[in-house]
Amino acid sequence: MWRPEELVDEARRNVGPAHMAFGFLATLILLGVMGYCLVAAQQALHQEADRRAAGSLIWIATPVDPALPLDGSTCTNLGSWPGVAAAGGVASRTSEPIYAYPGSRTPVPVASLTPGALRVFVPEAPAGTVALGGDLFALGTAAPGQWLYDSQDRPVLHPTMLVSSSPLGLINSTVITTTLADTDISTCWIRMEPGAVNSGNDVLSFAFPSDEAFVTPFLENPTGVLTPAQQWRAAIGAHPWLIGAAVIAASAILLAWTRRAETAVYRTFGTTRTALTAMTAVELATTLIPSLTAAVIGVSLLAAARWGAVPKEVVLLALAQGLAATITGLAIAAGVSGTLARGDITQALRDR
Amino acid sequence: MSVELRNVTVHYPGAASPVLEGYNLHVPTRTSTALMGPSGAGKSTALAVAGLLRRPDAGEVLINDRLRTVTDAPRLLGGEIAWVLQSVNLLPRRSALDNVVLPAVARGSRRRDVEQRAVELLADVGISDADQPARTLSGGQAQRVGVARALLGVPSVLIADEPTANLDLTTGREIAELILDLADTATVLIATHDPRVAAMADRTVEVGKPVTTGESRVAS
Repeated sequence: MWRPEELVDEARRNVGPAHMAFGFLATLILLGVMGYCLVAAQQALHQEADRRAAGSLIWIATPVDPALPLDGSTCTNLGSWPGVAAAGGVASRTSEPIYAYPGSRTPVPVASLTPGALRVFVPEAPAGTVALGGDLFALGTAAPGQWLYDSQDRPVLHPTMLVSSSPLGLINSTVITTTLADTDISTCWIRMEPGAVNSGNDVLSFAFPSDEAFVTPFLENPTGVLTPAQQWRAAIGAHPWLIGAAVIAASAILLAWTRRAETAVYRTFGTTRTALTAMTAVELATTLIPSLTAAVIGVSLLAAARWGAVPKEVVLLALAQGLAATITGLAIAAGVSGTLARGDITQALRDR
Repeated sequence: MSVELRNVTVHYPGAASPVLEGYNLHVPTRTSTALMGPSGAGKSTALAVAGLLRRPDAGEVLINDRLRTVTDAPRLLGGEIAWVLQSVNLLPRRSALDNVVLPAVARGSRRRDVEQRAVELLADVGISDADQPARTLSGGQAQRVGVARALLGVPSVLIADEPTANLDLTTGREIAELILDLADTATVLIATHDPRVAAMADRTVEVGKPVTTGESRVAS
């Protein structure tokens, strides 16, 4: 009966070039498993970020009768509701023409929003700021920091912020000013917190009854396209750890098969299959621990080079998948190698 | 320890007839017995059954008059029963010393407790470099390591399957002497094609011509 410490020492001494080759292969497999998780997670996260930038958290209420505007105060007050990140609406298009420079006869379009409305689409916008739509800047019409003039050539507006892009064309193509909250508005927007996005419909429907306003999401979910959550579930549903474990186990079993004559030598000394299984497990663990470590370092370097910082949850999930593939592959291979040690020793000894 | 096979039958799958059928063999304590016979006669099979490496399809194995089966192998192999195998079967990447200490360590000894004795045994059989990897040993050196490995456990029964196969005459004779000299302290059972090796044993048994206890043909 082997002493445990001698069995571990024997297994360690058995690790040779074939194990090194197996370890290299396992490193590649684990890199694949963890890399797949990271790529899938990053794609889902980027898609989610893109969808939010496109307005996936925003809901809109528009009057049933365009001649009957909505109450601006009701809309503005929604900003303090739980789950609502920002709220506001379009008060009016300014009728007084504004010009980019004195003497100009081409007016600059201006939109007047209730307080907080700009933050529905531009979360970082300071309250009450006068902002310049990116399209106007791109066309050379005006620039942030530049005064705008009324028809009497008096400087009246001073945009301090450039909105480089917004999912709403109105914001991109106008100078945005802020008006009083209790103004009639033609549209009410609310941006929900990420966890409360589905209650946006209820919030607006409560504030504006159905005979008063239509409530719709700003960004319709296109049919046939996976949401980020569905995409991520599909990626993990492919069970990369299980595939990795199967390939690691198959490789390890092939390694055990090529060494079955050596296994038979141990059996001629009375080594039991249990001891041989334990020895194989230690040999594989001795090989796979450096493989897992190398794969973690490798995938970390690749991720840092490709994406920079990666969310902790994604890193932990990728590590869990790699660890699960390693442990499961090791367990399967050790168990099967014990089965391979059955049978005719004399035949196995000849199978060199 | 005596070794006895009683009415042993072994039939390999796919073979037209059993390689051994109703085979009987008795090897008295502290004697050397050579099994001879043509290839396929069943010499190695008889040894495998006697050495608890193969379960017979029928028949019994008695060691020191006690019924034994392959389930006793983990307790007896590497200790009371030692093997010198046909194709040596050393662990090729491991050193000569590693290969020699293996049976003792497998039976619960500490490696450091048996290393010195293993080095001495290797020197006794003519291997001076105990750390030499087994794959670099010549056939004769490898077989010497196999003998040293068998001796480390101070076996009561030594079974050697064609230990001089593939060796030159001089080396083969030296190996055979090393093994058969053990009959002073152990029961030795050796399978060989070589009549000169068989002639060095106390008795010779022709496999393929079943004999019963006490009726083995004894060589001159």
